[in-house]
Amino acid sequence: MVAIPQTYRPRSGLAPDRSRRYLSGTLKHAFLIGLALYALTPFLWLAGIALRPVSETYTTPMPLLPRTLTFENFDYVWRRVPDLILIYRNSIVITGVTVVSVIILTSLAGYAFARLKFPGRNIIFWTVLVTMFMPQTLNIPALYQLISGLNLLDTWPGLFLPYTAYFLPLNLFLMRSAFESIPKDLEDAAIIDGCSNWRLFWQVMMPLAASSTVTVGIFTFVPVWGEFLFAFTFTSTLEAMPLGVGIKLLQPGPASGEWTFPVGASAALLAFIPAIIIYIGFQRWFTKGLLEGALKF
Amino acid sequence: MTIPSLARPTLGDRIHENWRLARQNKIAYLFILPLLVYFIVFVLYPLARTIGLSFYRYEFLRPDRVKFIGLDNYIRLAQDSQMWDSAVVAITFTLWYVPISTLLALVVALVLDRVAQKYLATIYRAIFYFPVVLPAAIIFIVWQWIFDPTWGVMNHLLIDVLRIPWPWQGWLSDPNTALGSLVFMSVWRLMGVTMMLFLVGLANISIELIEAARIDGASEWQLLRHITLPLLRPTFLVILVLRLQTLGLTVEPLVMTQGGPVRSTMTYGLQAYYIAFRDKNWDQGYAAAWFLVLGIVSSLLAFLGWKFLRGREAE
Repeated sequence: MVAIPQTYRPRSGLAPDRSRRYLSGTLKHAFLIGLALYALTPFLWLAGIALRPVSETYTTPMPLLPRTLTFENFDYVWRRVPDLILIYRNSIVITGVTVVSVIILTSLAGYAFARLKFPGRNIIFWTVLVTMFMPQTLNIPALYQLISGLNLLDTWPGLFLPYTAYFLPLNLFLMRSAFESIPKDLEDAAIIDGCSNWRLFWQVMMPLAASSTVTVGIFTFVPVWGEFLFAFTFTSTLEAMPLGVGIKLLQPGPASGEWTFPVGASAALLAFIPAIIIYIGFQRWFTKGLLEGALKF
Repeated sequence: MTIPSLARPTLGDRIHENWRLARQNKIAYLFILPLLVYFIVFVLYPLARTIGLSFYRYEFLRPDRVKFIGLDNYIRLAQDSQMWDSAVVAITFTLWYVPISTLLALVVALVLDRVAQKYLATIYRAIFYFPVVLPAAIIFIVWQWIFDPTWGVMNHLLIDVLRIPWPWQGWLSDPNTALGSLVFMSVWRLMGVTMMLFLVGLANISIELIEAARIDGASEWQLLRHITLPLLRPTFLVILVLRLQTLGLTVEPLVMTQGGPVRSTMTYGLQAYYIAFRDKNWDQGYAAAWFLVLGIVSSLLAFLGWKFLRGREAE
């Protein structure tokens, strides 16, 4: 692994010389604001579509901003499109189980790899880690055969099992580093007090590594919530189909009648909401996670 | 008379010692067991199976015709014009996407690093990172809408707001612009990750060093050229390794263009995926050969890039 620096102090006050400060300051902010617009426009435009009545989408060119605001599209999505509720439920279950499994598996193993000495430790750890760099597509035919052999196509486990496995290597690396950074003294004290290995792990080490499990959780949630390839390949009906694929079935088009553009935009927006809540709620963990090397997107 | 053994432990001793450690730390295996089971069943076994498949004629929909054919899949791959065409598409995408996104992220990070107000810098950072956290599969669909010639905001902004007399066209339905549109979207989607990496790299360059150079009369350009960029080498290394995954680009064209129009976005990964799951009889043995070659080539490139950048560090 490349050593990723562990401290990040945002700096300030590096402006060059005073005479040019004002001009370059204006340019600087013009550039940054322009870029912020670039980053936000697709989202704001989508929100603008979702919040306007259907009648405002029939003119060409469609007005950039809605003239009247309405929530009727969301209402329509929830009441009239039962399929969307099904795929939403699938997404929540599959993502939830994946996140929890990844946290549990990598905490247990991360602790063992960081603190317990056992034959085979290095070889097993590095074997797991190396697979992190495999392209996601590499195993897909073999995985498909495996999942269909286990009769798990079109089921929740048929997705959360491969997802969990796929996100193990990176997060194992994160959790092992987290446990390694806990001072040894604490552990020694607990051992002298006669703490068993299990209690040591559960009552001493886990609480200290809790913030890293949050990192693991959000950096598993984000890619799994928006995953397409496994979902598209391993599901084909509403039984287990998550949002990423399901929403494609519900795309607006000339032939889809009632399923209008603003309704499609509302459905997409509803799929964004959990991600946005997590992004805002766990803001500082995103920076922390990037520093620790959680970069798999 | 022989001297009692202070020599190296024999193989027997080592096995004995390992066995003792293993028994003493039995619990360690319990800790790693669940992860290991998952890993073996859903990563190692499929990997081994992929390697095996590549030596078979294995068509998923014709299980009666499975047959060991040695290296035939690889020979067929080397002679397959689709392979070379799709590899060119993937490489073209990478050659556009990686430099543009890296350069943009570098400029953004350099500017952002000089924003004096800390809260403003935090807000900008959060906004630039925002597209990264949105669910990818849905983002691809939204960008299909954005590129749509009648509904899309792209043409709307260009033609009606900026008054650029652009000829009417569908960004994704014109073979000349489809791949470029995918590059444009990808730059938007993942710029935040690269930017954050650069910000971390920049924050680790000591301020004293820069101030000292400034006192010696170095210009901003000289600072960048001789201090900042060389010290960012480890960051470039990480970005290189991450971005090499672009060679396997599959999902974006699968969702947005299905490889069209006229195969202009048929990347290597997508072609292999179609061989495995769409084309006649689902030839998964042949597809396994495609994927393995991709895996080997991209790890090799990552390894070489790593060696090259690391090697220069030692000078």
